[in-house]
Order: sequence, then C-alpha cells, then structure tokens
Amino acid sequence: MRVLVVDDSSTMRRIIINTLRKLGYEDTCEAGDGREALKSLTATPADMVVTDWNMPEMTGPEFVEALRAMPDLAKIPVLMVTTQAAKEDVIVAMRAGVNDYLIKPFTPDALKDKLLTLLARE
Amino acid sequence: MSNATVSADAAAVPGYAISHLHEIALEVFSTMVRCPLIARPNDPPRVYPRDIAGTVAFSGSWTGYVSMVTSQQGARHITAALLEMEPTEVDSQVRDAFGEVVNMVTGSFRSRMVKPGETWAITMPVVATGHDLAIEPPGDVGHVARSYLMDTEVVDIHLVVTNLGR
Repeated sequence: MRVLVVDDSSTMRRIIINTLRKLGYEDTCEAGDGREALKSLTATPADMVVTDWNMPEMTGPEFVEALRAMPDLAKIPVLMVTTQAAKEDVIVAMRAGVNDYLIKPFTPDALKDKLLTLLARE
Repeated sequence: MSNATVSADAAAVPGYAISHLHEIALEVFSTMVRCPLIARPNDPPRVYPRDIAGTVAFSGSWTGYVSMVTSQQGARHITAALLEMEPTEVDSQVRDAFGEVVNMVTGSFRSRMVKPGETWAITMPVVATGHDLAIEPPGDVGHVARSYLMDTEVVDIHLVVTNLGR
C-alpha cells in the first residue's frame, strides 16, 4: 500500500506521514505541489493520495480534476486536508473528485479515522 | 478577548473577528501543536526576544493579515511539538513549521469569516527572522494584538485589517 502525500508544507507532509507510519503504512512518498504529484504518480502509481488545497502551481481541486482525467490513475482514493471549511468549498472538492475531506486543525485521531475509512474502501 | 492590546484604530475591527481569531489560535495550538496557549495580560508588556514573525494575508470582503511573533526558542518548541521531534533535533524545519501554524490560523480565520457566496483567499506564509521584530502597520488600519504563553514562551498574535469593505 503506497500513499502519496501532496502539500507545499514539508511540515504538514511530515505530520501526515508520521500518522501513516503509526498506522503501519510505511510505503509513503511526497510531492510539494500538484504537478510534481502527477509526475510522481505517472512514474509510480500510489494506492491513495492525501492532498492539501492551497498550493502553488495547481490548487488541490485542480490537481484532483487532472488526476481523475487520467484513465490509469482516475480511481485512486483521495483525501483532502485543508483549512477550507465552508460548505461551498467541500462541494467544489467533491465535484473535483475528492473522496473524503478533513478540516485543519485536526486531532491525530481524526486524521487516523479518515485514513482508515478511506483505506478500508480499498 | 479581554486584555487584548489594541491600537488607536482597533475599534475598526469588529469584536466577533477578534473572538474568532482567539478561539482559532487556542484550537490550533491544542490540537495540532499539542502545546496549549494560555492568554496572558498584555499590560505590562513582557519583554522577550522577538526573533521570528510569520504572516499570512487574507483578501475577501475584508483585507488584512494575521501575524504571529515569538522567540527563536518558542519557534523551535512549536516545530518540535508539531513534528514529534526533540527540540535539540530541530534545525531547518523551523521556518516551514512556523509558517504552517500561521497558515492554519489564518486559513481557519478565513473559513469562519466567509459568508455564503463570498470568496476569500489567503496568501502563502511569509516568515521573517531577526531581532526585535515588530508588527507596526502604518496608517489608518485596525490592529489588535493578543499575547499568550506556550509553557514559558511568549507568542503574540496580531490581526491587522486594512479594509473592512464598508
């Protein structure tokens, strides 16, 4: 099970990867923005993606839309982790193809629950 | 937000915005940093090394920015807690971690302030380091600052509103 974490903040990537490792998911990789993530996924597909919304180059929803348009990668489950908490934001993310949504700030347990729920669908 | 230090133009900042920012700061530090903040009286002001300042601007029906200031030691403490490291192991991670905390505070503030149909954007965090850093916005703007303690370290959080959209 390979999980790609996409965030321009190395801090947030580390927080999410630390949580994944505690859950036993050691095979993780990272990207600093959507373009880098698409390149990484094209080279080596992942089983799940955790992505931020506010990033340079492409926003999170733009990245997910691009991912969903790629036939080989379209079905990868995506969790979005963001401070964008308005109902309209969640709708935009879901329309882009995000499978689940976690609002920052979050507790470690909340992140664990979201990751486990999404991983269980796999 | 009692005991807040306010500028001459702080009356321009509605109280609900100040309360939102206070609640968000407490929430971010308790859930993400896992080092609770305790509000402290600003008067008399506590002298501490203001070594690092992080700022994220917002733009929507209001424009302005949120800045957070602390000492280098305070920033290391925040970084170590966020990344589950020992403070002595922390090095180059400080800027990004400190910026991410300001990003979370401002992003959550934006989410609380936005009304249906409005679009608010925030910038990427900017982190400055130096000595005796001060958040002193020029001109006729609303400026409210609140001082906190994180263990023994002082953390000041400023809300500067340059345009209330009135």
